[in-house]
Amino acid sequence: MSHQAATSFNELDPHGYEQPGHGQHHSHPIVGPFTLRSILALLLVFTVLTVGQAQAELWLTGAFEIAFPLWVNIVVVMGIATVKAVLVMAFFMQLRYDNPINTIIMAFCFFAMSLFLGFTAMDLLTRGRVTEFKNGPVVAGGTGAGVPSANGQPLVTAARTRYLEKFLADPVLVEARLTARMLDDAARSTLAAAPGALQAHGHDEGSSAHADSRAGHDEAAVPEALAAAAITSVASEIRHKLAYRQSLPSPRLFAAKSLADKAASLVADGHAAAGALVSTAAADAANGRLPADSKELAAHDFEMLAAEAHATSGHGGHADHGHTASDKNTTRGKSGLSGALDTTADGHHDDAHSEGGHTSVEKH
Amino acid sequence: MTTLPTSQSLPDLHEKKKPLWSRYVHGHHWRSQTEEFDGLKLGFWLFLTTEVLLFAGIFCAYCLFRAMYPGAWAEGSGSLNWQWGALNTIVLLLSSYTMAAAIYCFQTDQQKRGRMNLLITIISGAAFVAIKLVFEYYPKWTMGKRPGSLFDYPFATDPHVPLWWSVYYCGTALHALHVIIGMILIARVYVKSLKGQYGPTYYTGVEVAGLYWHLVDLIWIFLFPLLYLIH
Amino acid sequence: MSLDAQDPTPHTHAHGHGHHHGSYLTPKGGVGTVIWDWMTTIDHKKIGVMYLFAVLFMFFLGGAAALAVRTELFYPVRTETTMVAKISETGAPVLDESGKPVMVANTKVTGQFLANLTGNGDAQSIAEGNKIYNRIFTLHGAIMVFMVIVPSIPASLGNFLLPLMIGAKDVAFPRLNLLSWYIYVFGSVFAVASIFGGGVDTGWTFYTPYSTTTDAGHWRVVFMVLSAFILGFSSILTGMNFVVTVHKLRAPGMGWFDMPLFVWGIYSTAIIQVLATPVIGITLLLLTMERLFRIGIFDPALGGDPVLYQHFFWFYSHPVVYVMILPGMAIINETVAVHSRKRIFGYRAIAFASLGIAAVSFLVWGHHMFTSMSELASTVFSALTFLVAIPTAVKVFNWIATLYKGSITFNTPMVYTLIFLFLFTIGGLTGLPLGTLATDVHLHDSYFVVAHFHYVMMGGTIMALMAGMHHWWPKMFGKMYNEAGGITGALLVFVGFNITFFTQFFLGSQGMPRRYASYPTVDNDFQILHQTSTIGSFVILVGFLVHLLVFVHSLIAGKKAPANPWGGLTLEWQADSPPDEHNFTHEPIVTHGPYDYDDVVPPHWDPKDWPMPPPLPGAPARTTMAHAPSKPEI
Repeated sequence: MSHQAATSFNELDPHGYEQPGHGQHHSHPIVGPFTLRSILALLLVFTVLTVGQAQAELWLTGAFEIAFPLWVNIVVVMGIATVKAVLVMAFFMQLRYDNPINTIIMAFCFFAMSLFLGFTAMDLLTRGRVTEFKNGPVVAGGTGAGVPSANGQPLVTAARTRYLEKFLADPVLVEARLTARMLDDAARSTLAAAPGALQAHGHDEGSSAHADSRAGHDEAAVPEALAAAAITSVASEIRHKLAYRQSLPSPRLFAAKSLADKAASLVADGHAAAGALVSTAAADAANGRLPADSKELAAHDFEMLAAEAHATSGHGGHADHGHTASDKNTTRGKSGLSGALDTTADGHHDDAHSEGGHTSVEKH
Repeated sequence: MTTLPTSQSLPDLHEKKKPLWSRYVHGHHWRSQTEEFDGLKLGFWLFLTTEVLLFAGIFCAYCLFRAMYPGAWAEGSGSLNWQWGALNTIVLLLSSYTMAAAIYCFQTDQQKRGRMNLLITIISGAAFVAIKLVFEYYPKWTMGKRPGSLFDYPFATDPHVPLWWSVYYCGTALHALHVIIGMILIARVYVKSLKGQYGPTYYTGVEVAGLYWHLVDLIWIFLFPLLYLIH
Repeated sequence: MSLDAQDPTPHTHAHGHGHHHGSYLTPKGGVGTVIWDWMTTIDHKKIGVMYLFAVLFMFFLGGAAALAVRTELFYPVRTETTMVAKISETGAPVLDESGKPVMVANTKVTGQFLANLTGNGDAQSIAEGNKIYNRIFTLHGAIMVFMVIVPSIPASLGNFLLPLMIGAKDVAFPRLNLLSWYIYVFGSVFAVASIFGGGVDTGWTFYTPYSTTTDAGHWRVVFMVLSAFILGFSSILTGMNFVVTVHKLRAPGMGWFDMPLFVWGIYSTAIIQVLATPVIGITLLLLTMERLFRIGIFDPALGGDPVLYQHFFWFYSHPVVYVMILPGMAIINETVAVHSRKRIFGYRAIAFASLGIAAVSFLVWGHHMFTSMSELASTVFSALTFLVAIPTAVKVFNWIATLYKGSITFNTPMVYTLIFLFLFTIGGLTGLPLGTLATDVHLHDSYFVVAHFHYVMMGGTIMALMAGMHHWWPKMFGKMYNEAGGITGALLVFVGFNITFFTQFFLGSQGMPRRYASYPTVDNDFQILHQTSTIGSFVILVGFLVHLLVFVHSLIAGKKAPANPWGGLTLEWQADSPPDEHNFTHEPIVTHGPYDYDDVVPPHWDPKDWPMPPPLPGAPARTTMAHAPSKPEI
């Protein structure tokens, strides 16, 4: 194509791409399997670390009653996430081996994002510094205006009210609730009939698991205790279904069947007496009289369900501790401007949480 | 880091028997195949920035509402099951690895292994979406933990919790959509690789699909701790 | 620089390359073949031409809406109640006991143009007319912003000229370019569907909570929002294409600072398009979710924040106004240098100013929201807004310095360039009272803002588009146009524009709010100002119709254009008019800068078209660039 020697500068092809032997040359390095696997291992380690730090924070808060300021969680978590992201970008996406322009582009992108976040935050978080009317919401959670089902309340309140009405009125839910109560009464009376000081261990709904394990540990397991444990577990199953709004078409039959199953398994395990007690309870559940209902009892049941929903919703096994800790975190978390300004929400929040606190402390 | 073989180092096969990837001809408006490859990568990195900025909106809403309503955020995050989130994270990280490994395989002409890696990546993506739908979305939706005006969960305490659910669903649904798009891209690469389209001197398609998939992983790396691990 | 350019490719190469395709406009066969060719083309020139015609069509559509708006505002809407005699069915006046005619009130609505088109002029028609008015100004805004101005220069002239100017055969991703075009069409279809369905009355800004609650149950708003979302993708893909093209496909010998400044402008635009547009994507997506499912993040009734929407929206929409103006400035860089036959003043300053404008544009979006934000944020945004004036002013000064002592020819592109300088400067200066907090409190959402942005968007971008179209029309279509007709149209547009929009500054500072279908007339000049403004808008219409006639005439019966009618030195003038399908028949070699008028005689240029000014005393003799053959020897 040209008369020039291969070594001289060719205006048409200054980089020498079209030279024979250079044409299809790729100078892109290959990232080998060792590197890839090491990076994967590192990423997994960091994942474990980030989950671990969240759990550690929880544990430390619960065990030592320290409350971490909000930014600790954010800084640690985002720091680890950034390290992981850099690893993925540098090695899996091969930015390390690429033309630096690609890295510059990505850096620009994150910079633009931080501008967006920073300036918007500068507005939304400094409302009310000078003129009060630019402050946050007057009714925390909004007025629910325009949402037909909200009836002029914040959505959370509306949802609660809706379910409470249903809870009090729907025959199936009422039946379920009363069945659970009946089972609790049955468990208590069974336990009361038992000799010994096992009654001293307050059997509240939340620690039925503990009761079970404790009952199980006893060498000479008193039949009444076993039976009571079984009945309580069925009661809390019903409550769990209520709390998670799973369908429970015929609660009494469900109770009777579960109790019958539990009786059968107890008998199979060799605890005949306990099995017999449970079968009696099963028969009662199917045919006996449901306890009387009252508004206070219903409201109390509702609060128990709320507590159960919170306790089992993801704070691990630390039902009470976790809940109290999150109270602390959230109320203390309202530091800085948002806390200072968010007076109405704070007030409302305290009410809600005092309910929650109340519930977790009270034993049934 | 070894470098790739030049076309000269290929065994001298009969023209017809030469694999497709070795017969690739670059677009006529590019000066060489290297230019084309670099240009495509540059273009795709620009596209990745647009994807990141798309999620920037979600992250911005998240950060601002978290700062304004930390109680709701703590409560909402507490009701998420971090185990599923962690499992999903591990699934995506593994799939990222297999994707990078697939690129390596095609760079070293290990066609079968490369395809297997691509397949594992696709399956991991499907697993991610399945876990999310079945174990996270469905139970929460039926419980009433829904975004905004659809919210119907009676046991929430903080009044701004429906906002949390809005941000959660928007962020994770948009991400799941990108996982599905990524899966489609990789499936396309897989189908093409069956014909021997990719090899040591031409693997651009795999590279580009890989970049997209790693971006999807990257976004989840940020979404996971922000959504699941607040206290 | 004194290299004697010789044809570097030997004849064998030309022969070996095969046949000469002819210009890109040459039909390849019958009607069916031509249509299919244009529908499946990946040639950037054809795509650019398609964009150009689509944009011009949408411009007339949006302009028609504007004329409807202005006609409505000619008279204020009034309800006149007169007492008239009551007439019975027989036609005789009804008399009361004493024999006098019974008087009843007769209510008539006057001054309402839109409702009279559809309604019957009674009292209820005011509300109807207002609704229609809202829909029409939204239509005007949405079409003009999303379908005209944003794609106008980059997608049409940018697509056509960018590869030619850097000596490439096409853009980096030609098929992606075609996809961009089809996405544009697809998005426009959504908008048109929404308009046919009755249109949207939210304003082109779709502010919440109105846009999320209005017109409930109807799909019109969602379609318009989706249309903007889809058009965003078109913008992103074009931006990506251009960035890679500029990075990777420059001709050998063309470094970054050898590129024409048009390319710098388009490159800066492309950067903004890539970084800003995704944010409007997520905004509109969240808006749609808000509207369809009421997720609540923008809704105060559910605990959300409507100002958050405004932040999201303006984070894109402010940089996009720079997407609108930067390509206009890019055109002016070229026309001001070529038509004053002078090296542009301060090349590097302009190049860096383009990048600077792109960078600072991301820092100032809050100035659209001063009345909604906290005081701290308003102060910071106001200070940053003053910053963006600096690179802009640098450019304006450099253009004026280029004109100074240049050999100016008053042809249509130069007239439009001067119009641009005049109108854009007014627009930029009137941005200052809007960026100042104290004055903005009074001027926000008034006609002052309307006048300001029309001065920069229309007086800026559209005038630059006109300059560019007239400058490159011979290159694109191979035909010259009637110069007298072009100048007439330009002057009509200029006069009409000033009559229309200068009066609106007064309207705004006297307190006339924007987006109002009517106005009070006591103790103010509103009516006369509105009427003046409306008359001016029809003068603009006449001006653009003249242009339309001139262009159509040029296509049908215009003189054949030479390759380089104006004597430009950038690479596109080395290609044929219209260019060959592959742009250049031989790879172009860059041996001089794009504005070296003192050193080089422009190639493919005829001295009888534009006489060259004599060289400056003491300057070396100009190099002559030999003609590269445009057709291979047979």
